[in-house]
Amino acid sequence: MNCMEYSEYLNKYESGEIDRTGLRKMQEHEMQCPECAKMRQLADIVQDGLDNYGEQTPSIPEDIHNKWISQLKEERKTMPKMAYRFLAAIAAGLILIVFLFNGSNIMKKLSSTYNYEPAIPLPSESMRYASEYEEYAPEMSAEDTTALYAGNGSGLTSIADTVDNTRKIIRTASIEIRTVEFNNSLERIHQMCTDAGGWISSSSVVSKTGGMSATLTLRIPSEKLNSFLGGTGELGRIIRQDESAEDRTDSYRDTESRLKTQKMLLERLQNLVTTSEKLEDLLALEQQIAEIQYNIDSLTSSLKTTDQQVNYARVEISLKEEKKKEVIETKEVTFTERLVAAFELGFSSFSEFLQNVVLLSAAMIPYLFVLVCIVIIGLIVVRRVRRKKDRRQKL
Amino acid sequence: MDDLNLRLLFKAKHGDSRAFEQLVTPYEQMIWRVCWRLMGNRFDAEDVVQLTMIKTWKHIRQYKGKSSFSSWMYRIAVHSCMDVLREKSREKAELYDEVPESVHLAETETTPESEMLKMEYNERIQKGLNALDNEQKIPLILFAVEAKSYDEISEILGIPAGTVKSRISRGRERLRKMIENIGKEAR
Repeated sequence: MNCMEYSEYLNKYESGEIDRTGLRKMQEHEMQCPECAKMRQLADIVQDGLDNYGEQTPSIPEDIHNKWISQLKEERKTMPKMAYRFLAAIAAGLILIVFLFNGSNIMKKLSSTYNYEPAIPLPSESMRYASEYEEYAPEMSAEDTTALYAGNGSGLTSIADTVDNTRKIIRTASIEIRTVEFNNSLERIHQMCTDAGGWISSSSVVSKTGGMSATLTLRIPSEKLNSFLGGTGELGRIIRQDESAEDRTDSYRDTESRLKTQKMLLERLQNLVTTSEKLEDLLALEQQIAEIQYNIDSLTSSLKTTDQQVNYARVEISLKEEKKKEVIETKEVTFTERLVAAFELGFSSFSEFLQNVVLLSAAMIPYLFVLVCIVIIGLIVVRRVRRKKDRRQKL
Repeated sequence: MDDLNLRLLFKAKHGDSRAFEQLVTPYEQMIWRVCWRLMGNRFDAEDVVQLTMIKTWKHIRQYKGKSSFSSWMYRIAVHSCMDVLREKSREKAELYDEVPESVHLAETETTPESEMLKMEYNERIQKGLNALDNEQKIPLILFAVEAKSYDEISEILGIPAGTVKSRISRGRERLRKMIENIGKEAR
């Protein structure tokens, strides 16, 4: 076998299509060609890395179902075809629906503007609202975030506190942040990561017309995760933060015991090599030893990967820039202001309602046209029938 | 597809969003898994899951039952990921390929060199996957991580199985070179 042929065999090996004979041929070639042997080692590392990538898939976020459902509802509202499906006979019903839709929208807008209750209880009464087209979210100050992770809050702290050092627990966190000073916040994240003794696994910065945005994946030493998360409050307005912990202790112990067994087996086979005298036996033993060595490498690699995931928590950060004008300063809302806002909202909704009525009327034109044609044809038919009747009566 | 799902599909095709919700909810986990693996981060994966669900809703009338509903949704998810990845690669302004030098030093002080190298290999493979062209990355993840066959990938992506094979092979080769470079740097 030459190196070109080896490369074809390597492709088969990588895709799991190689048989025992092929593997043996590869091993024979590797004995003569260290470059090709190195290629297979690299291929094994890549495969381990890909396996590890698959194992890292985090559990599905709990709120994702509600998110797409609400998006689906929005989508349904904006589907223009739906209006055309109604017949002229139910026009009145549609107008009523449009009216109700507007009415409920008013209530919804009023309640979301003035009766907003933050999901995470804040120590201070003040809260800031983003502009109308941004989602409403409370800003957590640096002190609030630090307090939350220091044990004064609830929820996230409980995960951190329950981590048992003897258990193999993989911690992951994700945070969504909006900031006015994008570059400063990004630099601060880099600094915080380095200070914690972690590293940036991946980072991408995207420039869009709406502003800059960055997605970062950090690896932070698990014991420093709490203090790191505590410091994220300084970076900007925290829109969302999740933390999860996955217990891999059982599978880790299982792999450990399998590794132990394989090592014992290897030792026994190595002893047999020293005692056996036949060449055939020696070759068979070497083949078995190579397979066991491969298993040992693979199991050791799996344990190390888990250790790495346990020692270094994965933190995903989504940082988005928001413009200064979008942030309205904190102020108390008086009854008069609420009243004025309610009138404004009423008028804008009324104009929206009128627009909807006009649009609906436009949508009805094809139906009305057909209806008018039917009526005209009907009238012509009725007249002819009457004329015939009249003629008969005259005769 | 059983009777219940057929009824749900019929209703969903006629605009019943509740039936649609019941029909697709069992596939949420599968869609999340493939979106996360192809996008490589939680935020983009979440966006693409939502995009997939909305696309499925919009095009559900086009589902004719030629393949199973789950593989039809899976195909939509993969294509949604491809669209977003294509858009992102156009917009991408900066990508940090290198791990900062100071971090290398900090890590080598605390752990043995070989272990760190192994950790770095895994990290580099993840980064390498993100750095691969989409035409190599997607078939490679579908094959090596999602355990799809060449024929399945060919059907999902709409390209010949031979092309799938060569793209996977090229992807692996690039990853091998990346790992080899780390080894040289470490020495």
